[in-house]
Amino acid sequence: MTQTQQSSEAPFNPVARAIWEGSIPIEISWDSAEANKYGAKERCLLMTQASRCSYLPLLTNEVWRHIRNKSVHMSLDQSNVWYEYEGVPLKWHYPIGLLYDIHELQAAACRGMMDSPPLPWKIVAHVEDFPVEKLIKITSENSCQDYFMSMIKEADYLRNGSTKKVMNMSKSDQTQLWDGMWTKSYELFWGMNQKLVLNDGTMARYLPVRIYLPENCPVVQEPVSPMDDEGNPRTLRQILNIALPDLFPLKDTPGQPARASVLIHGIVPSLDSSALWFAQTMAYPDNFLHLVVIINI
Amino acid sequence: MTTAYHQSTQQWEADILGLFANRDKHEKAFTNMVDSYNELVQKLSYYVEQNKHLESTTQNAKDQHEKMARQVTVLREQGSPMNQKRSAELEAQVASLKDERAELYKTQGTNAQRLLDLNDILRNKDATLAQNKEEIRRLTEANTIFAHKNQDMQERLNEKNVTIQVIQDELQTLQLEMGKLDERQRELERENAQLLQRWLKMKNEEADRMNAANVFLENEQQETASLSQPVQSPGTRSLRSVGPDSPTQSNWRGQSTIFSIIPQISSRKITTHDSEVNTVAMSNGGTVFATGSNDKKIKIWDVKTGALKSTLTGCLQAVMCVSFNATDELLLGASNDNAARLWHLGTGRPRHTLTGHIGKVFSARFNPDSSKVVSGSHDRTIKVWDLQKGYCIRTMFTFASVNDVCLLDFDGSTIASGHLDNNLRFWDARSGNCVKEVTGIHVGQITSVCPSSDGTQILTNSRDNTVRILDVRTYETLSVLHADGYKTGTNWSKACFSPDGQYVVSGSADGTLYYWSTRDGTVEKTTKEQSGPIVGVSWSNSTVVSAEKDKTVVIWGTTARRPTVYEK
Repeated sequence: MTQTQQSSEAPFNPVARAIWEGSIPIEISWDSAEANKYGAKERCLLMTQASRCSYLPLLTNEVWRHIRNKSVHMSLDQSNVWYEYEGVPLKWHYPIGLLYDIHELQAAACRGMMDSPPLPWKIVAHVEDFPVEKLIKITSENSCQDYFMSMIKEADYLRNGSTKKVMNMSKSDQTQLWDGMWTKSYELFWGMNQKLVLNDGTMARYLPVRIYLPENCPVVQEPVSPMDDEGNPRTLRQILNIALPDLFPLKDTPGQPARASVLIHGIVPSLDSSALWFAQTMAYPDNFLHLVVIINI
Repeated sequence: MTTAYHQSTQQWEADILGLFANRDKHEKAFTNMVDSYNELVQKLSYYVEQNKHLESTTQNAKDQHEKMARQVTVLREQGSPMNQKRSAELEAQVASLKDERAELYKTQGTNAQRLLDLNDILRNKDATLAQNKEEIRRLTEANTIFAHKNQDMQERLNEKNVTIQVIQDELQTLQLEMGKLDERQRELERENAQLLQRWLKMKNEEADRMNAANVFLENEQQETASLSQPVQSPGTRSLRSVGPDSPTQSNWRGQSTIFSIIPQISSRKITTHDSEVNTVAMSNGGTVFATGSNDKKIKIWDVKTGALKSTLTGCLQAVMCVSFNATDELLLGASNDNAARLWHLGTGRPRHTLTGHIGKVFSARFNPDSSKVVSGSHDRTIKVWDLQKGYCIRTMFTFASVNDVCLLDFDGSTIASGHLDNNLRFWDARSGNCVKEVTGIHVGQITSVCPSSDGTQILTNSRDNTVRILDVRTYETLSVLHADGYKTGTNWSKACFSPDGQYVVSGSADGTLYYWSTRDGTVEKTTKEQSGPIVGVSWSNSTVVSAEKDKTVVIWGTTARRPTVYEK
């Protein structure tokens, strides 16, 4: 643990590295009705090993290119592209890893299958009928970047009680974060990010955590501080207990499997690890811990 | 906190890493496939591109091919643009060549035409050549004939020459004979003259005796009359001479009133001047006569011998009139140089030049005492000149050019002038007034006026071929003298009375002298010696001098003193 490293050099953190390099194969195909409409012979648009930390809109360019290539006449534009999996529109402001975790793994667990869902993840791209009630319309090219930055600011606020740190960063530093993110440059990103994450050694006030529940429950976001009242660092279980006391009791009843587990980055971590450490290390690029809850039946 | 923390973090790290590795096994299993898929997709798209490209190229090639094929067909039909151009050029060439050919045909046509024309011309020329040859032949023939004729003529001429020679010889012999006969004639004439002389001498002696007797008688009578009362004599019985004129007024001309005989014999014919003679006048004494001519000279000749005595020069133009004064010492010459000149005959030198007229002076006369000269000119004036003063003392304007003037009285107070307007005018010399203008007498210009010796009659000669005698006092025509064949020769031809006034003589245009009798106006005699127009006659004593225009003067006499000799 390189807590004391303050330089802009990317710390050697194997976990962070592993997170950074996580990727899933995605097969994006075009909606068949639309494909027929537009005279495309093949539906498969794109097969890619997408990074878990990336966002769907970043793929839209390529997807659009393929759509254009396949379609006979296309009058719509790129901003109308949206994705859905098994009929559910995919929220584009979630990282891809998060989306996958939510939809595939969580759904599979709910259905009682613990096997890995089939990969590649097949999602369908649509060009028409943007579901405005469900998704936020992408208004500009920089929407994704703006949302990303706003998440980072939120995380900073949670940590420090103000967004001073982020706002005090120079414009080039801010863009460095985003650039590092979408160019998949670990050094570039973590060179900046560690400042935020490590917080100059000051203890975060609250930890930026978001909990996702299955079956379209609203997202839970509770202010949880890393330290408890006594100054002991809290564990994950404790944090989760604060947020979802029903699902995560502090103590497991012996003889019964846990009621729920947490999925992050496609793994189910032990709940006994330090929350702070967890937040620092296991966070997504947008400095949030997006935890997906799997309810064990 | 740290080491335990550290340991636990390490543990947690390891755990999580293991979990991640697991996850990745699943999730990253597809990487290869995805990569190869993407590769394939890329390749596919690339090949699609290529295909499109190739298709487009083939399409292009096909298009090209089609175009080429079309071009080929077009070319097959029309030939390439090059060929088209060439064919157009060729067509143009053909057209121009056709034009040229047409032109050449035209020129050929014109040339053929010209050839024909030239042939025609050639034919014509040949014809003319033949004609000329023919003519040459004829001419040569004629030439030979003429040569022969010439020869004949020559021969005949020679013959004639021979004959002439013979005739000349005969002529010579005849001349010799004639000479002899002339000798004889002259002898006879001389005898005749001698006899006549003797007879005249006898008569003169008789008359003198008579006169002397009369004078004696008169003296006696006067004596007796002075002694006693002048007794009216029964009248002077003057012993008259044979002549009919009254001798009481001794002729103011100073001529003896012997009766005149018409001289018939031309005693001398002289060629006087080098150019035409205009006037002739005999001296009052009858010894010399003067001629004036166009050669500006006046020549004085001896009447008897016909020899030239002297030549008077000084006139600048032709001499129209010559006149002697009463004493025959001075001679007047009136000239066309608007002046009259006076010479002294003794020295032959000019005395006066009377200038003042502005026209030709046709006539000039002395007054009886030679103190004045009267001249008449074609400037229509008569001027009276005083010889002592030397200038004109009176000018009388006469209305018409004066052809001749003469003085009537023996003191020269009346002047008569004959004019170009056919009129005769009389002037008073002292007052200068025109006393009388006699008109209607002639129908041609008056060429001369001549007073009779007694001053009662005046003779006018005119271009109307008549000569009139007028009475000076009554201005009536006494007689008109004319004759067939009498034509006045010049505008200044002079006629004159005989000294006794019985006859009038005038010369005609053919050289004949006509003598009229004044009593009956008939032609008494004609003599002809000359052939040209007579310009003047002058009668003195018994000699008449006639001058003709053609430079000759004939002296007519009554006796043949010598045989007529043709003298220069």
